[in-house]
Amino acid sequence: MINNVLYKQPKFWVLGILFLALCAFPQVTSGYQTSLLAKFLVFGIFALSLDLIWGYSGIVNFGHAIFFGAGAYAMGIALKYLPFAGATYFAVIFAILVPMLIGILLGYFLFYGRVGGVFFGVVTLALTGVVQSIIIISSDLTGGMNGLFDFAPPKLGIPGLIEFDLYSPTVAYYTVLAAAIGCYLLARYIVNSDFGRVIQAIREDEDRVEYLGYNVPFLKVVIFAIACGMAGFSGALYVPLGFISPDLLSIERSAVVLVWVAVGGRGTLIGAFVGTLAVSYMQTFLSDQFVVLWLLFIGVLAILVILIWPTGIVGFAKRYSLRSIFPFKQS
Amino acid sequence: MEALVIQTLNGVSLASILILTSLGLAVIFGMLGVVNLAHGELFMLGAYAVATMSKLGLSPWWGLLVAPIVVGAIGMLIERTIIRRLYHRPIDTLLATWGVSIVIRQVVRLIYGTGHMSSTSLMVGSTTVFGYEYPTYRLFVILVTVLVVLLTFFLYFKTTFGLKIRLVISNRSMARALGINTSKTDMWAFGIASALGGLAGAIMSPLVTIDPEMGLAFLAKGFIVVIVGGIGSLYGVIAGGAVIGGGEAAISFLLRPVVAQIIIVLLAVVIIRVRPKGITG
Amino acid sequence: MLQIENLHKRFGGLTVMDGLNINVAEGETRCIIGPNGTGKTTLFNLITGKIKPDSGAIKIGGRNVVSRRVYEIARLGVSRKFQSPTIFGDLTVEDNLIIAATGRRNFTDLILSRRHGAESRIEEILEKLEFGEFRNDRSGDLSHGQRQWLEIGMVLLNEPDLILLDEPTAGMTLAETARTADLIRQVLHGKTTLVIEHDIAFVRRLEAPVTVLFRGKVMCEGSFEDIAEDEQVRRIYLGENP
Repeated sequence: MINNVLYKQPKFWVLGILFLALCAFPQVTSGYQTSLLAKFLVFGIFALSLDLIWGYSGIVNFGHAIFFGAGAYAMGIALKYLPFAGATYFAVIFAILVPMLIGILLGYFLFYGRVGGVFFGVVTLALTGVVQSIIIISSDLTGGMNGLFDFAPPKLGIPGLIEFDLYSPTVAYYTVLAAAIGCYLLARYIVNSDFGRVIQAIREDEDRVEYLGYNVPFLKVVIFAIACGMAGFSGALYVPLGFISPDLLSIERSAVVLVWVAVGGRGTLIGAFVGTLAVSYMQTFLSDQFVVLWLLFIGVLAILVILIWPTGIVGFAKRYSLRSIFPFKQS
Repeated sequence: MEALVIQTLNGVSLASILILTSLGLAVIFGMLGVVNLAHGELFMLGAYAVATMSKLGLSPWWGLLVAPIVVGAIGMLIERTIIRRLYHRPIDTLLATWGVSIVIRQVVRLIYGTGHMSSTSLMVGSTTVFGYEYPTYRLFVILVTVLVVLLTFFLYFKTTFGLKIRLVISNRSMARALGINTSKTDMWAFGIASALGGLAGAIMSPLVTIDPEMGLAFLAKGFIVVIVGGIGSLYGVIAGGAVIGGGEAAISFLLRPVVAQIIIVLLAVVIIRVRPKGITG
Repeated sequence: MLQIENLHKRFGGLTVMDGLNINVAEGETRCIIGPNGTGKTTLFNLITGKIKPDSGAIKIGGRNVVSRRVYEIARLGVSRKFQSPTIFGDLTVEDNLIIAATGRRNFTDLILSRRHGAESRIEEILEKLEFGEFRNDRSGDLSHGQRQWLEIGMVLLNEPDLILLDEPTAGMTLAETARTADLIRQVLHGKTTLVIEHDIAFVRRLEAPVTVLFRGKVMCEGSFEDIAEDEQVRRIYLGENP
């Protein structure tokens, strides 16, 4: 049965080889490369959460980094104030719930206030500055401009029996890989469900959906909350791989994640990972001295993708019948 | 009593600044249905124009003249090359203009460096208002805002060009059928709105630190004003500017400015929930 | 089924509803005609809750729905077809029907894709509309007439007790119009339906009672023949010489 599927569907071959390659990656490369890829996969989850709302529900969020940052801060703060074994699990849950709650509050005010489309993007942009200010002024809790660092190292496993330190690149990598696959499958399930269908219908014409009996603002709040929770989760995963500082919520980070998704291809889910990896690896070729040029490139890329290549890499692959490579739904 | 007069003047001048920065945004949105995220950078370019004049040893007043012209031309260029292709894709325009804003910021960084610049004061000293001293330049800002608003209204309601714009807003295809070159009106409207942004930046330049990031804060506030006031209407800009500017001045009097800014944005979100069409809608 | 009592609505200085009274019985098909700008589409906007009246009552199944929101009124069983086909063009024909079929589900049902037996109703509609071969096609690629039918199918699948059709034959060819009239008579038989229409041939073919709206009021009601004979109606609407 399985052999039959593999024989008929080259897609499964490709996916299988890709999976094995990803699993073998830490064994054949350096620790630096491993944590680099782990970091990019974390960004991939972050981009995936944006694709759920932008690509599928038409909610464009110019402050998506708020939720990534909120997740990272929630994780760090929880690790700091919960000094017992196994705290990491609680910290991760906290890191999902806090951004979700922010998302629900924001969604309640804006979606029920009928602020949609472009204006949602604008308000989220304005909020980025606000949230950053809040983090900087509450320095007792967040460490202010210096960032948050004096928290207990996150550990996985069973406390007292077997523990894995997430600061080890290999542990972090496999954790992130499992999380990325899990988040992808969850997102895939959501968009293929009837809820996902309705969400896509809302993207096209939310008034029409309402006339069919759906409580549109509620459904938008739900998908937004899911996306915010997922962004927060990616922020939590970022904690062992980077520093927690107000930079995590910067406007640049919100802009870059939009570019990742646009380059990969909106509304494809897998495109979020493709775009993130492509753009992020490109960035590693430019050294840190060229930050200005790099951002200039990101800006130009945003304009060019929108103007001449709106479907992104995955859309391009789709059109040139490389269908077998990308596991997307035919729609 | 002194505090009251000074605070009222602070509120009025803050509101003027907001109205000046948001006017261009509202014009572009009302006319083209485009939200221009690069508007803050046009504002920033206006401020750099004044700073450049100061640096060249010229009077900063030249900057006030040059800013709207140069920024207006840049706006028209943006409209021709990018915006025009995206009129049917509002959310994509948002991302494209966002890209434009990043490009402008980085180009300014490449030319002027990352540090901040300053411009020579256009006016020094203070004037006595109701028996209290108040900086002359802030009064000048209020005066300029009143003039610019009157000019915009005149242009919009009393000139042939304004008539064309109103025609295009109410029925684009009909306007085209009547022989109006809508593509041209679009370009000029975008240019004028950009010039307004550049002028606002030039006027504001002596009062703020001029750096490549300065546009962002003004952009965010400008949009809050437009949304709170009522999207796409000129009256809405004035009402929104008055509420947000007055509110911020009042709260700043009681609390730290940064806290006041946080409260204002959150308050705006609540206002949107209660009055989705803005306070004039 | 539907009672509209003394409905008033003004837009600024313009009175669009000026004490409107309409009574539609259970299972009745009613045609609404009237000159342009006489408030026909506004009436649908009022019934569906898109806009709120200044005064008056709209009762559906005896309940006044004036203060309810659009989706709540839809859940009470009011389904609307728009003048120009309003479907979800990027989704497949089948997806459009699935969304329409299950508008009253709660969130758990949605996320678990539980459809409570809607599949068979969807198959039935696909068959009736002869859409079987298009089911996986992008609905935006259908012809204008097909999109109109798809939307009628969506309205039917929405399990309505009261159906509002706004110019169901707008932009259709003669043959398509005839087929639409037959389709409405056949599949809407026994359902309470309000139809706005301009096409007199179509109104005649529907064989339903007609209400003539003029300046936000009912001018007269009756069978098509009665209306066609009415002097006043001929003058204001049918445009024939007095």
